[in-house]
Amino acid sequence: MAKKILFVDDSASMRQVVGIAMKNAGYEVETANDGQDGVSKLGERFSAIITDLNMPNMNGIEFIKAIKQDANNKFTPIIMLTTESSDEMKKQGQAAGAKVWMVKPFKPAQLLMVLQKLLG
Amino acid sequence: MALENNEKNTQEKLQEAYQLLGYILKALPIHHEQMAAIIEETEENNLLLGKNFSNLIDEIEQSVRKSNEIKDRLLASDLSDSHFDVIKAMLDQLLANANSVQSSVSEIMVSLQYQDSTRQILTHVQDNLQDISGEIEGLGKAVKNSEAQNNTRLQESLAAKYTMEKERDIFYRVTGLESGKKDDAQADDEDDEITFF
Repeated sequence: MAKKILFVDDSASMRQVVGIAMKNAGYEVETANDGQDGVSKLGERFSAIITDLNMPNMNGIEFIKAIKQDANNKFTPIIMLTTESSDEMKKQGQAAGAKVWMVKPFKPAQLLMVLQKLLG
Repeated sequence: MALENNEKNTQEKLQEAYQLLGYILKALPIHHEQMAAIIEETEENNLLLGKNFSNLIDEIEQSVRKSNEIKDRLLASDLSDSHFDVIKAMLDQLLANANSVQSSVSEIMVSLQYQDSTRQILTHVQDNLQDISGEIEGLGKAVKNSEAQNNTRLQESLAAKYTMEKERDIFYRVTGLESGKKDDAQADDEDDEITFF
C-alpha cells in the first residue's frame, strides 16, 4: 500500500508540481490550501506532512503546532518547504517541530531523498 | 514685494505637490489591480503547463513500459540472430531516448516552481503599494500639521514583509540601508538548500 503524504501550500502551481513528483515516486498525495485546510485533513494518519510557511489563514508554524496536538499525527515527520531561508525562521520551524527545512525551488530527487531518509 | 512673490511661489509649489500626490494616490490602486491580474493569469497558465507536462510524463512512462514489454517478448521469441540484434538495438535506442527525456523532467519541474516565488514577490509589492498609499495620505495630513516624516520607519515596514533573501537583497541594494543581518544573509547563501534538524 502506498504511503500517504499530506502537502499543504496556498499555491496551486506548487500543489500540482509536488503532486506530480510524489505520484511518480509511488506516494499517495492529499493536498490542502493552507494551514487551516490542513488541520481539517488531520483526521487520518499520514506517513509524512510537507508544508509551506507563508500561507493565509494559518501559516506553516501554526500548522505544525496544530499537528503536534493531533493524536494521529503528533509523531508524523514534518518537512517545511518554503522560499524563506533565514536562520531566524528555521529556528522557529525547528522549535515548532519540523524535522527538515527545504528551500524552494526544489529538485524532485531532493524531496524524494529527504522522504526516503525520514520514512526509511 | 519680494516676500509676496516668494510666498506665491511656495504656495504654487505646494499646490503642484498636492496635485502630484493626488495622481500617485489614483495610480497606485490601478497598478495594484494590474499586478493582481498578472498573478492570476500566470498562475492559470502555469497550471495548464503543469497539466500538459503531467500528461506528457504519463505518455513517456507508457512508452517505456511498452518498449520493455516488447523487448521481453523478443528475448523470449525465436528470431534469427541478425533480426534479434537489429530490433534489440532499436529498442535500446528508444529506451535511451526516453530516459534522456525523463532527465529533463526534473529541470522542468524546478522551472514550474518559479511562478510561486514570482507570485509571492508581486504580492509583497502589492501589499507595500497599499502601505505607501496609506503613508502618502498620512504625509498629506502631516504636511498640514507641519510634522516631519520618518522615511526610515516606512522603509523598515516595507522590508518586514519580505520573506525571500533575493527580495531583501534588492531592498537593501536600492535603499542603501544597512541590512544589520548581512552576515546571516551571507551565511544563508552558503547553507545547503536542505536543513535537517
